[in-house]
Order: sequence, then structure tokens, then C-alpha cells
Amino acid sequence: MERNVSRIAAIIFAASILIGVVGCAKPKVQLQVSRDRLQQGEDVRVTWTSKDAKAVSLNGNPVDKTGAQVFTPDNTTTYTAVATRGKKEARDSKVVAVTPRPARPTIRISADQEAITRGQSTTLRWSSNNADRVTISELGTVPSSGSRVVSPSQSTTYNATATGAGGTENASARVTVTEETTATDRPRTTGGPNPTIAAIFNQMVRQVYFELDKAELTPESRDTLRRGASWLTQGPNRSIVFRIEGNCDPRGTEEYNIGLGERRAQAAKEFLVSLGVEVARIRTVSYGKERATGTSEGSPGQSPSWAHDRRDDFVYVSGGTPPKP
Amino acid sequence: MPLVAARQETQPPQEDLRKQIGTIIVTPGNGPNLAVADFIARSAGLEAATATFNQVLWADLEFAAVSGLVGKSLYPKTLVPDPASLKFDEWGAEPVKADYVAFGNLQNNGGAISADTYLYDVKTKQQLIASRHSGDPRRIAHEFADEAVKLLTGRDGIATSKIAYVAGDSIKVMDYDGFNQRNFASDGPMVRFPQFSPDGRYLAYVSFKTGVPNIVVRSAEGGLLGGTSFNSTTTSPTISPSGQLAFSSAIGGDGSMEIYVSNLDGSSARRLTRTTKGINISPRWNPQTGREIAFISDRAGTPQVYVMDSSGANQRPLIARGGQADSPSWSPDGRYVAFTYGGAGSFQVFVADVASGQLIQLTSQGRNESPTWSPDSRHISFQSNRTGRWEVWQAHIDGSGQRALTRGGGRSPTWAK
Repeated sequence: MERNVSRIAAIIFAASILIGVVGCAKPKVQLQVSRDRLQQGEDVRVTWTSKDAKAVSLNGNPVDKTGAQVFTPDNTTTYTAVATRGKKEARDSKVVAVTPRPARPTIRISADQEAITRGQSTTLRWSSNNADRVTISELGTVPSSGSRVVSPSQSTTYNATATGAGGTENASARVTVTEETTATDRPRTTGGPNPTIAAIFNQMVRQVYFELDKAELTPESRDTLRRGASWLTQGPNRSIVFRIEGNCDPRGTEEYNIGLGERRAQAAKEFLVSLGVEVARIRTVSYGKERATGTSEGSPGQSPSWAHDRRDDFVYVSGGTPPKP
Repeated sequence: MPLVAARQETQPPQEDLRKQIGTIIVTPGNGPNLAVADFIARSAGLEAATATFNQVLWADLEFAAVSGLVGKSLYPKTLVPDPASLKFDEWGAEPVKADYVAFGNLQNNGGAISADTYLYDVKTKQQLIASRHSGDPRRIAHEFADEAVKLLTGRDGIATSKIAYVAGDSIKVMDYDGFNQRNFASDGPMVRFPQFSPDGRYLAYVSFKTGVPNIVVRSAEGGLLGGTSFNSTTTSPTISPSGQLAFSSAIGGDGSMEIYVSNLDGSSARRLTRTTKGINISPRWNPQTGREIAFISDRAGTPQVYVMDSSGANQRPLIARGGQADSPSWSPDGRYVAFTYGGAGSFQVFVADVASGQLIQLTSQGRNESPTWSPDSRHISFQSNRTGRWEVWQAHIDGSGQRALTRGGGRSPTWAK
């Protein structure tokens, strides 16, 4: 009886070794990728080989024991091949890093007045995103966002082109120029916006910048406004009416930023009034974050940047006397 | 003081907001089972119209979430174009186990499409709806969906409701499910912040037409009714149930943005808030009572949600938890205020229970802002940039069922009957 038991035990022992060696040999798998770094839209070839595997899966999907597949991943992806045999498994992984495709540039351009009489001026405004270079016909290369007073002598279409790593986009704004009708006997010094005055205004009354979520004027802004106020309170300039446009960077919410932009315009208005600029000459408008183009903090002098987005623009509306030739 | 204490003692224990909201949205297994058999085309050439009708009806009843919809793969193979073909046993037994079944047919009546629509109680074999709808297949599917929801819940459905929103620099209106996007108004270079009146008859918004943002009010059909013409930034309109206008403006001349009420044409403006160099913005009238206005104020530091009586009295914070809040929106039943909340360039849609002050967060992917409520106070629409650009999205009040309604860009939705 005892002998029998030990013989059976010996058979079981031998059998289990046999199963261990032959029946359940540990499978092997190897995975290769044709490249480990690519741009969105490009593809990668994943190849794998296995040995002693009963089943192989690639990222959870059953596949041939040895094979290849081509993928076009949108995001950084880990490719894992798992070879199994019974309860034994082996795996091999490779990471493919995917860099986003450069975003397509966008561009917008508009003219404050689409129709002017000859001799009048209007302000072209443009903004772009994802552009390395922006050009406007008639003006050449310009900052990625900005405005320019123009006074075309005939109807002109301003074509703006934004070029970036993601391609090229176009937009245009047309300014129609009509002949002055009854203006011949009207003195040019009164009525109607004057290009020369608008251009000088832009030189003398400069943008001011704000700190994050603040509508208080910085010492630099006060200096800028003092220079503006001393020009605005000189002689014929006292008839100039202008607009202060408050702006915010894009991080806050839309409705609240309209309030914040208005507070920024109001802060400049209040300071100019304290320096002797008549309140009736000033209009305030908030664009909130509608004109924001920044994607990082940067500095006020650098557009696009959040620091540049948080600003008051000053826009000539009417009045003043052009300088004598 | 004793009054408050007494009230607290007699108040029932506060119900958990998430639990409370969970019962509003019916999911399969926690409500009656509704089967919606495919409608049958009875005239030649109506195959496409019938397919559209079936698809829209299913989508409407699924989003309505007033019953568990039984999957069509489980239905009996016999078609049910009319009551005579309905075998109650088949629909009541496993695997369908429907409590209600909707069915019917479409036919061509001299060029016009009409649908015979039925709803039956399977257990009692009672006919609940037998009606006919004529017109565009999408429209008549919406009408029947609303009819079924009304019968099952006693409350009006939302399938025929509409959403106005900002698309680029104009305002568009679309069906509640994102279809039939059509132009509503383009006033000048930029329009923003549309808000329907509670009855859906008026739409107010901000136009930059004159160079200074001001309020424009139109009828829902598009006719110009009035608006403001101030010299300083005037924004964020809201209309009361009785047709009064409230807005935020810098017209006070003291450098702050304050809330005003006025007639619908902007006349007789009266100031409600009075802060020093403050921003008081985004007013929203309680559409249920008309007696309160929620708004945003930075009087205590960062912008937070406040509430006041519509007389301006009793100004108090509704939610005060730091961070930045904006764009509150009162549910039509007056129970909840949804709003944008966050900071540092990251914002999400939250819902607050007005009575208890409890909050739940509805969204988490990308930035999500500017919520608006469905007419039945059970769903929300908002703007999200999760796809890389701002689009109008929609979800149930518990945050489930999120779907994009626009593809070409959309912001600032406002939802009305």
C-alpha cells in the first residue's frame, strides 16, 4: 500500500515537471515601432513577433502571432503586445510620442468705416492666431494683431494673409472711397474726421496696459496718460472727441470681462478728466476679451501676449485742426 | 433670531442634491418602460421621411429621459402600423416588458406628410394617445414626442423648444437638438449675450452697432421692439416674466458697472446696485417669481454670484467660495441657479440648489461656460471648447448625456419654449 502511494506520487511529480517544461513553456513576444516620434496625421508601423504563444493581443485586440499593423495615432500612444499561453504571459511595449499638428492660422480684418469720402480716414483692424507672419496688401508686413489708420485715395481692398506652420489663411476688407460732394465750399478744418489729426492723435495718445484682473492704472500708465492729456488740452486739440476701448486677456469669462474692460476704460477716462480733459469729449467702450490674441503672459510691447491684451486703446473720433502745411 | 432657530428645527433633513437631481433624470430600470415601435410608411416614396421621423422620435424620447426606453432589438417582429396590429401580450411579456408602447404610420396626403400617432398602456390595454400630426417629418416627430412626454409626466416636453446662440458675429436660432440652424439677427460688427424672455416671446442681446455696446430687444419672430442707446458700455440683458428689462451699465458716471432695471425700450432706467469702482454684471431675473435677480459682483474681491430682490433690496451672496463666477442662470422652476465657476483660465458649469446652497459640478472636459436651462428645468445647454473651439453643448441636469449641438462654432446659448 505504502509503495503504491509513493509510486503514484512519483508519477504525479514527473508529470507535473513535464507539463511545466513542455505544456506551459513561457511565451515570448517582441514589439517594434517604425518610429517613436511623429506628428499628428503621420503613421507608424507596429510589428511584433512571438514564440511559444497560444494567443497574442495588441492593445487588447486579438492579432496574429506575428504580424504588422499601421496606425495613425492622434495622441501619444503606448503599443503593447501581450503573448499568452495558459496562465503565462509575456508583454512588450513601445511608446510613440505624437506632437500635435500645427494649428491652422486664422485672420480677421475689418475697417471701422467701409465707406469714406476722399480725404477722410478709417481704421483698419486685424487680428490673427497661430501665424508667424501677417502681411496686408498696401501695408506690407504688420504685427500679428493691430490697427492702422488709412486714408486711401481710391476704393481699396486690403488683403490680409496669415502664414504659420499650419498653413496660410486670407481675409480682406474693402474700403470704398467716394468723391466729396458738397465739401468744396466747406472749410476743411471743421466737420468730418481728418486723417492728419487722427494720425497725430495716435502718436500722442498711446495705449496703456493693466495688471491681471486689475483696472487700476500703473505708474507707467499714468505717465503715458499725462503726456496724452497735455496734448489733448492744447489749443485746437481741445475740440477732439475720442473713444477709450478697454480690453482683457482671454483667461476670464466673457460677460465679466466686458465689465472689467469697461472699468479699465473708465480708469483712464477718470484720470484724463482729472488732468483737465473735458468729460464730454470721452466715450468709453469695452470689448472684454473679444480682441484678445495672446496665448501666454509675454510683455505689453509684444503682440500677441496676455500682457498686450490687457490694455486701453485710444481712438480718434472727431474734431481738432490739422497742422498748417 | 428665535424665528430662524425655530425654522431650522422644523426643517426636514437636507436632501442630498445629487440624489435629488438623480431622480429627475429617469434611466432604464428606475421608471416605466416605454417601447417605441418603428413607424411604418403607408405611401410610396416616404421611406426617407419615415426613417427621419423614427430617428428623431427616438432621440427626443431618449433625451427626454422620462422613461426607460426598451431597445428596438428586443421588439416583436410583427409590424405595428395601427392599433389593430398591436398584440399586447407580445409587448408586455419578456423580453420587451413594456409598460407603454408608441407606434403609428406615415402617409402622403396630397403632397403633405402626416403621421397617425398612438400611445397605449400595455397592461390596461388602454389607448392614451390617438392623434394626427402633419408637416415636416422632424417637426411632427418632435410634436408627438412632446405629446407622449406630457401624457407620461403631466408636464410639457422640450422637443419643440428652441435655442438662440452666438455664431461668429451674428445670432442664430436652432431646434433644441441642434438642427435647423437659421440666422436671427446681425446688428453691426458684433452681437453678444442673447437672452430669451421667460415666455420665449422676446430676445434681448448686446449689439456694438453704434460703436458703444447697447441692448437690442426683438420679438422672437425678429421684429425690432426697442433697446437702449446709452453712451457707455451697456451689456448683459435679462427680461422679467412681466416684460421688464434689466442690464449692467457704466452710465452712472462714477466708473463702476452697476445693475439697472428699465422698460423694455430702455426708458425709465433705475439703478439697483451701488458699489465703489465695482463690477456688477450678468443680471438674470428669476423666471418663476419675477421677484429676484441673480447677478455677479466683485464687491467682496473676486466675482461671485449674488441675489437681490428686483427692487434692489436685500443684496446677498448666493454662493461665496472664492474663485471666479459668471453668467448665472435661473432654472424656469426657480429651484436652481446654474453658473460658470473656476479661475486661472479653467472654468466649469455648476448647479446650485437655491434653498440649500448645495452645489454640483456638471462638466469637467475643457472650458465650459454660460449655462442656460431647458423650459422643463431638467436639462442644460452651455458653451464648451473641449473640441478645440467654442461650440454649444447640452446635458441632463445630472451632467449625463453630454452632446454637441453645433459644429461650426457657437457661444452663449439661451433656451426657450
